Amino acid sequence: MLTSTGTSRLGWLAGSVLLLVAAAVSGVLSRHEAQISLGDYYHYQCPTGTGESATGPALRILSVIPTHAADIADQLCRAPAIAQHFASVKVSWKPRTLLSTADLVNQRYDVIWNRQHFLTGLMPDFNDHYDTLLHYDNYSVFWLSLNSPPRLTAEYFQGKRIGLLADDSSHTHNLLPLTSLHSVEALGENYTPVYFDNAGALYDSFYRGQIDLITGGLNLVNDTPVYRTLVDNSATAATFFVPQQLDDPAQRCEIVSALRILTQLWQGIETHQNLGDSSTAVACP
Amino acid sequence: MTAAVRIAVAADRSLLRRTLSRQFLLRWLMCTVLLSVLSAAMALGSATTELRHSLAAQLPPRLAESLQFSFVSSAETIALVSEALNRDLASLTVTGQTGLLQNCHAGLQQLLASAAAPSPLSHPGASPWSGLLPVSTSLDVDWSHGDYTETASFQLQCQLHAPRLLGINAALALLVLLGMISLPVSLSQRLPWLLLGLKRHGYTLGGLRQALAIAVSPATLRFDHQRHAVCIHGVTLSLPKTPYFYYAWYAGLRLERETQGWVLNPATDRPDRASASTLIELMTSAGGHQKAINDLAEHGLRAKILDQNRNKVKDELCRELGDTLAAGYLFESERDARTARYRYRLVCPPTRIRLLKQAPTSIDHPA
Repeated sequence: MLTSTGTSRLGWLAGSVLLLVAAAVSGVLSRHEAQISLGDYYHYQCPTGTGESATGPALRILSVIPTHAADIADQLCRAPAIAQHFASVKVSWKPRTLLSTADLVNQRYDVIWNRQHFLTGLMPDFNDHYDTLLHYDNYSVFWLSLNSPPRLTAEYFQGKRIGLLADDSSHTHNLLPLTSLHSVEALGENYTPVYFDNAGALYDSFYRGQIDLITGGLNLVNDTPVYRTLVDNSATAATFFVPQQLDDPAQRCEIVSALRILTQLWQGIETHQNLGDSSTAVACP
Repeated sequence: MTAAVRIAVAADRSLLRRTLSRQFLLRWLMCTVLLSVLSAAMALGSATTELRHSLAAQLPPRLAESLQFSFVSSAETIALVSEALNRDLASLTVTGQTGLLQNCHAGLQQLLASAAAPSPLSHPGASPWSGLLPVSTSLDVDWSHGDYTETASFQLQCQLHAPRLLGINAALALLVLLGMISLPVSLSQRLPWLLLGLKRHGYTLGGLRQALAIAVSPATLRFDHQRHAVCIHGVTLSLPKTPYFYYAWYAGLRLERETQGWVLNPATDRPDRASASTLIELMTSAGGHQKAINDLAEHGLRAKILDQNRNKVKDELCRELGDTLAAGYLFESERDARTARYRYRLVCPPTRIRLLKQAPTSIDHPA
């Protein structure tokens, strides 16, 4: 009835339609789903090698920055006094703003690096439950500028863009610069505060000249020459707290020893250590 | 050979023959390969897309909180994070209805452009053939660090279950080819009518509606004596009066069972008087040309006149419908063994012929 060319053309058309349908079916049948759940990336954990390992408790250290987290944990994992009681050591640098009252009350951390006033704010009787293990003070904080030596006068800060960290618990990048500005009666409307979510971005903007002034310590990552003016030479650099239950001097000594890895961050500043009640105080080697 | 196969062979030998031809097997192979490639690409592509979406949703906030206070984004920190991320990536599960992908592993290539790969995924070594083909893709996820946008690169490695892949697609390809052989007969018969309808009624929406009506119209041949028009497959054609009556006369004879519609052409020297009288009766009752009626009455039905009118019908139908579509509604011929003269009848079987002697009103719109 149809000519052979007509039939074959139609056959091709119908065939193509069928093939498309088959490809669609094949495609639907071939679909795969991928499932993955990511944990947090602000901790490092090592086993102490006690044998009972995974089931035992972990020594939990709450740091502020990831710097040397692995070194501190690894040193503690090798310490026999720690291995006796703990199956593993976990150093966390959970953002300090995420620390909660429940964390403190339930003693979810065995070592906490934070500001005294911030912790007391979360838990008013903090000092009844936690001891100060190690305290770095006489930390010097400076106004830093790439362009001119900062002067502590209201006129100097006039019209300046000042970089701050959007974190009320930060001394160096929030509390101290605001206090300094207040003390010279530089009013909020005369300078421009620029807030940053993380310290890396704060420093980057400073070195790129997008902001005029920031505050910082003596040691800077970047070698670019900067003008410095002292803001405070008796700032507290860092304080480490331990729950009073963790009262074994040998363990405390191991922890102090491991935390000294951080000392290079604050060269030339004083440390004070407290290993427990005066009655049980033992000097570490 | 089982009884079922024997019946199948008997029922449709040509189908089986075509099924087993070398050309068919070649097409089957090509279809299978084509569908398998598409299928494999879809499997890996969908898994990759899902993984990318999942990572793009989860990774940036995780990294932001981890690196918030890391103004020294040191290689040390990046290495710690990369290691932990790789551990989480080990928990990846890839699932699909057909399970074409097996043993999927994802690995971090680099967390940011400046950091080197922490631990590249180890490729499974050469192993004895197990039907599993290794396949892999890479994917990127953007995240921000301070003011910078960094790009983390991942690799997804899976094994393709080749027997399953080929099995499923070979089955689909077989369905396609069997479908091509058997299913589209009705489609291939109706499509030319749709195209003809479009040509006649214009390539507009209204034209399409009429063309569709023609395409789905039953394949009948209707005669309307009042208007001297035939309606073929829903297409109405007005014919010149005299050829119309000859066409209708052949159609009427096609309905007769004993002759099966065959009409022997009269001998050139001996016109057919009996046939002439039935034609005269038909023409007189339905307003035929007096001249044609007089001619028939005077000379009888002559072979020359009969041939002329068949040819006129043929010309009209071919002009309006095209040779291909007209063929089903024209004449077929064979030589009569006894007289050695040709005899003719309509191709169209009697079941599809409708002779409307009363004035129909709905001829333009067949039900």
